[in-house]
Amino acid sequence: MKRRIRISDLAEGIEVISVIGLEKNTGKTVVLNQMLKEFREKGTTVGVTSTGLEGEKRDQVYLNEKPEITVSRGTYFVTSERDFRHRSFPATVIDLRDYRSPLGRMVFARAEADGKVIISGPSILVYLSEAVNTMRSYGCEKILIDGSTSRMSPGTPLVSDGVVLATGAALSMNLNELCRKTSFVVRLLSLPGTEPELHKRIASLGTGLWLEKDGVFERLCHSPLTAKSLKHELAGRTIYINGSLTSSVLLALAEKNTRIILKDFSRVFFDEISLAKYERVGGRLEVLHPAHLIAVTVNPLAPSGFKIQSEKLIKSLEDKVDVPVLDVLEETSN
Amino acid sequence: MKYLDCGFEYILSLIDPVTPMGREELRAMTFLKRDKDIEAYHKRQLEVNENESKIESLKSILERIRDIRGTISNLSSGKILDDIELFEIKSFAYWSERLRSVLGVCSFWMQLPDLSIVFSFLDPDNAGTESFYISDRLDNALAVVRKELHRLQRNREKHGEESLDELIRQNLEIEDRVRADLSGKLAPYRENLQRSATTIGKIDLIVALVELNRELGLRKPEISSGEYEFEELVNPELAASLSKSGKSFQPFSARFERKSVIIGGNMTGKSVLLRTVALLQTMFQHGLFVPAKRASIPVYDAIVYYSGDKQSFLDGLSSFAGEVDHLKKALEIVHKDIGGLFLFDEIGRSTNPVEGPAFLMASAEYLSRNEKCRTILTSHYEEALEIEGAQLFIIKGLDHERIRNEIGREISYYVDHSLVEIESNAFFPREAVTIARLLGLEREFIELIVRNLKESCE
Repeated sequence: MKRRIRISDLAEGIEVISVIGLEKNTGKTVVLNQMLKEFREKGTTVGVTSTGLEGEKRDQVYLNEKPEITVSRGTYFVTSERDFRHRSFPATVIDLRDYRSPLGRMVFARAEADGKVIISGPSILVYLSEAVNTMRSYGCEKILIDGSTSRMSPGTPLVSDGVVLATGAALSMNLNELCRKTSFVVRLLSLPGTEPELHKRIASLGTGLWLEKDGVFERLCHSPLTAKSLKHELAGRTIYINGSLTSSVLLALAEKNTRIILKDFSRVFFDEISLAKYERVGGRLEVLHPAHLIAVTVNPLAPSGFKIQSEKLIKSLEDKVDVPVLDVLEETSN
Repeated sequence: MKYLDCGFEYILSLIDPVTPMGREELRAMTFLKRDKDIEAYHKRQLEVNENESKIESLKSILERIRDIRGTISNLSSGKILDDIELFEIKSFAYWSERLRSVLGVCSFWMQLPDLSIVFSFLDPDNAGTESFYISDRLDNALAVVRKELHRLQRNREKHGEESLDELIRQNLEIEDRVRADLSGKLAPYRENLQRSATTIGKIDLIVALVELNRELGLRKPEISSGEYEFEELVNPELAASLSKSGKSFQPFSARFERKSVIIGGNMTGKSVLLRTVALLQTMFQHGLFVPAKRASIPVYDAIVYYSGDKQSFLDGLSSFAGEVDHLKKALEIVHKDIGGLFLFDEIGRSTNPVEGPAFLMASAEYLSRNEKCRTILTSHYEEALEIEGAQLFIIKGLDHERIRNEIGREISYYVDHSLVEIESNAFFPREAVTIARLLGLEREFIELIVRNLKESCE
């Protein structure tokens, strides 16, 4: 029998790991729990938090209970006061900080026995980053971030060293559609980083759409969303967009050999077709903060009960992406 | 709270206590009318300042202190505190004790109650940190249950689920018992906790004031029994904005009698001076140090400061109505026989030049009837020279030698803002035309003004 790939092995040498889901019920929490379990077995000190409130405990459509994270004795976690109070295990309160979250202050704690807790961490990037650093100061060797259920998880590459992408039948019950959508996001997660010299020049620029002219960046408009009819010569030029990039703007910028630089993959709001058109004329796309994709996990089970054949799904995805693909349900079954 | 429109809000905005209690103390600062209240504030600032080397460590501790007054009130009402609240109390006691040890032997107002017992209740393992955990030591049964819980969780024995749930339930039950017990033990200390919170707020505010004093170079004023004197008074807000454009504020020095009138041409800074005196007095009466190298000023029951158009505009009054309104307030103080400092900027200016001076003369006379009050007026009117018994000042104004020698500089270069006392037979400055010219008003227009002036004199 083929030796199973352990997700914790793939995360070797990566300190801060974000798990983001392409859709609800794609198994993000299962992946987190699996990683927590594997790290515990390895004797690694782990910290866990999440990016902001993700919504109700119950999935409104299918009424599936939102799974809680299973922490073990010695795991550090950062969650809201409200969710901390609902935990089922003894814990040490280490710190309490006011991040102005609607769920109350953030509790920094350590589990003193195994148990379950809903993790709702800071929703603002600076606070998330502070929470990560604080857990690092507690001695955490690995820090897991429960990312949002959407690829639009702003700043993910800024706080995390690696990303695990969860996808599955909940995204589409059509195998081809599922693979297409997933591999598009994998492409975005794999956008190349800009060279350091250019990065340095761009990093301090404010929001808007900037065009490089004779080595200097000039702001063409403050909101990249309204940049549709630019009268400028764009062919072969470098454009930096600090903000979101939509399909219509991407198409407006599609001229021979243009090079667009975005902050990170979460700023992408264009579709595959627009990207294909943009690339057909020789356009290139880069990001200031590239992400490091560790693995793609699949949940073959849709919340409606429909199941895609796991092996076929993994195989199809493996053909399209060049990172390991794992079935989350298979992971937990042994 | 509404303050005089003299820039006091700017000063307050620079005071930056780090705890919610300190910020509350700042908001609660009031206009002090008794010497001893002002002295008490001065003394506190001096005491904290003496411990200069400690300020940094005091601040780093203060920054860690949370507002736990909600939790204290839960304790008072007999509620059982949860882990987060118990943590809050423990952390508070921890930092309060740290603060107490840094302060060492200190004066009464900053003496913190001893919270070491509170801390020790919540630190059964003698960990000595602010972290809080319902430790096994807090209940004999707890250790037994948890040991078994850990064993089962490690081994996941068959048929373990049910007994695991039972153990979790037992653990929660005992934990609740411990929380109730701890809450009961802590309840008698709620007053000490509250007292500590209040004292921390006071310390925090004074530390912030001492930092303000350093930042703005404020000095302790003397409380005088009558004389009004200051040396090198500056306006911190204006000084900061001037320094941004590379200029500096020319300080004022003066000794004012009970009735003083300041004259001077346009742009010489009469209004700035009056506004700064209003600020000086307001800061002084809030117990703050002041932006003057030396100041010896008395305590008043009230200040009436009329600065001019902008103020009335904001109050929805015409300039004239604003003036009358302020005069009424001042007269009331004169009648009440309490101490008032009256600062009027160009009284009578908003009406015609025949009646205007009459307002000035009448104010100067009436407002000084009460010995407890002091009046400082500024004026454009030549009649000011004739005010009986008034001490007269002039702001030097244009330096004509500079005007002759150097052309094309900014107007501020030609103006000397020094305040000098003059006799009533002094020459009254007439420099509006020259100043308008320096400000770049068209030559032809200036010539027209000069022609008009000559005609009216003939």
